Amino acid sequence: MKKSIKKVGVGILTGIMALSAFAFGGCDTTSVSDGYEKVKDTVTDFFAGEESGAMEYDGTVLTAGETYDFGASPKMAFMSTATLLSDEVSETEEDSFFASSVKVKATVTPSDANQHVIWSVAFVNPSSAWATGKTVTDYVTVTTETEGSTTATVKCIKPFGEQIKLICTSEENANISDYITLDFIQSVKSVSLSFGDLPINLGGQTDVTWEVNPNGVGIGGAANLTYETYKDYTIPSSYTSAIDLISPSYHNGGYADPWSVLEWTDTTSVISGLKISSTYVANDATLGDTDYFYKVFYDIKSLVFDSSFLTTTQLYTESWTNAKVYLYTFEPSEIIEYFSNITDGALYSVRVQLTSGVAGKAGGDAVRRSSLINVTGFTNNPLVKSVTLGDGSGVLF
Amino acid sequence: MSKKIASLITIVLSLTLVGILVFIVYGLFKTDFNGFGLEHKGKEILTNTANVVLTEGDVITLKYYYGDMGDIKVYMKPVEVAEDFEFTIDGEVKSWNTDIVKSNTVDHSKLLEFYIDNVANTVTVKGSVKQGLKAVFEAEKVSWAGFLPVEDMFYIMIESGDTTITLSSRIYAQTEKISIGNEDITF
Repeated sequence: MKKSIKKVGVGILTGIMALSAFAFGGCDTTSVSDGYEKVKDTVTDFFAGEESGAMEYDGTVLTAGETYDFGASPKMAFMSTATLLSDEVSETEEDSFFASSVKVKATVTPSDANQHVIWSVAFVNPSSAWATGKTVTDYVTVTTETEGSTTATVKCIKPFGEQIKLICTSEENANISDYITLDFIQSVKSVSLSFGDLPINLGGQTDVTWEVNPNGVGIGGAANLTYETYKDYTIPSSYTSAIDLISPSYHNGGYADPWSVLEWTDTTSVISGLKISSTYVANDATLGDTDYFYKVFYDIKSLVFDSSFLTTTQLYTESWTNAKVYLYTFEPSEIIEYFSNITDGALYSVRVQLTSGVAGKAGGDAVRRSSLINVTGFTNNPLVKSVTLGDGSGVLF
Repeated sequence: MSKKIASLITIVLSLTLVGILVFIVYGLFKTDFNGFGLEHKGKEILTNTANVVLTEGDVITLKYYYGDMGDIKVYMKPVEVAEDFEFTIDGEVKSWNTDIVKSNTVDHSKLLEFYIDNVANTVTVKGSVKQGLKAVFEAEKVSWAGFLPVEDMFYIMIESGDTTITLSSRIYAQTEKISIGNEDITF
């Protein structure tokens, strides 16, 4: 009897399970009612361009060629009278061309057609020696903010050696599409710069001391610039280079106050309210009046931090009466006073610019790297040019 | 004796459970599965469905799974959109919500007449929104700035026997061309 009941029970339970399976598993109402497959997109940030604007200080629009009084603020300010262009895109290794992306837009006609599209990328010649075995999305990605959007962002994430097609296909009709080609210009991978035995820390800060003795040998020397390019590209390119000294405030990413640079502890009344300004003006005919960052020296070939550079930069102090006294006219002991208590030694930014011979590169035709020159103090090492033994001198052993 | 009663109770409870399950399953079929279904671009539609994207020329096929086909009837009505859609009919600005959905003067049956061709177990979408508006207003020229709302603008109700499947849908013209506005890109 027990067995019979068990059998009945098992049979009933089996029946219940079967019915349950049919009821809840047989009808996949979600997949049926959904009707259409979803395409997943990854949303990424668009490349943000740099801002530009007129130079102002304390509400006053600054004019090139003029010298301004910024009050009795205990700051050293290096002032340039040249204004030059910046459509700057990147200054450091980290912000290289890989950060750049391009926004593309497709138009679907007629206007009452389904505006949903599918973006994709593919090698133009997938069987080429370079492309064989490679996955195109390892090199270029295309993303949209919303599913099916006609606006997409194309981003290069790695150099590529085979042309890539960016394809836009109608979601409604896979036979209707358009494409453009993507190329990779032979690009700069790394840049190295030194002045004599002074290596420049591109992408960071370079600390220097200033030789204040007229007979001393300052740190620095002739410029030695080298760069390496990526081995993969679809368009070869050569580069021309320029090394500039620019406003340090630009280095820090701002435009509003190019002057507030170098500060030191206000220890005596002698230096209270002093300013230091560079009156040297670089002549760069290739750049126009609408340029908004300050380039102090254009395409320098060498850089030595000694008394001659003090002269070249025409650094001067300004007293309460606005009288200017140039630092190169001072005795070393006086100069030392100014370089003894520096708390913020930002001087200029050394900027390397490598300009491609091929125009039209996304994110700009130039690669720029810069380093903030930071004056940490001074040296006072008069060079001993000769030693003369006078008459009657002798050497005892 | 008590064992017999226990067994009896077990059987009664089991049968009750089976009955409940049968009721649920029957209920599912009764409310959601109408004995017929639709097929659009290879996808089966068995229940009321929203976001059905239709293009002029699309064919929806009726499929019967059991029972008689019965009379097939198709109804259609425009649906209000969240952000009203303005268009120009022969120079006069009108809006979808006011002049189509809520209008007492526009004959909605003209929409059905224009859009749907119900022949031999198939429902064919005959035209686009622009063409439909032309037909409804008997206009020469219909235009608008931008694009159609990206949401359902119509209910299409397909009735067979005593059951109905409603498609909340949007209707598009056939895509003629896609062009990427940008020139070739160099990185």
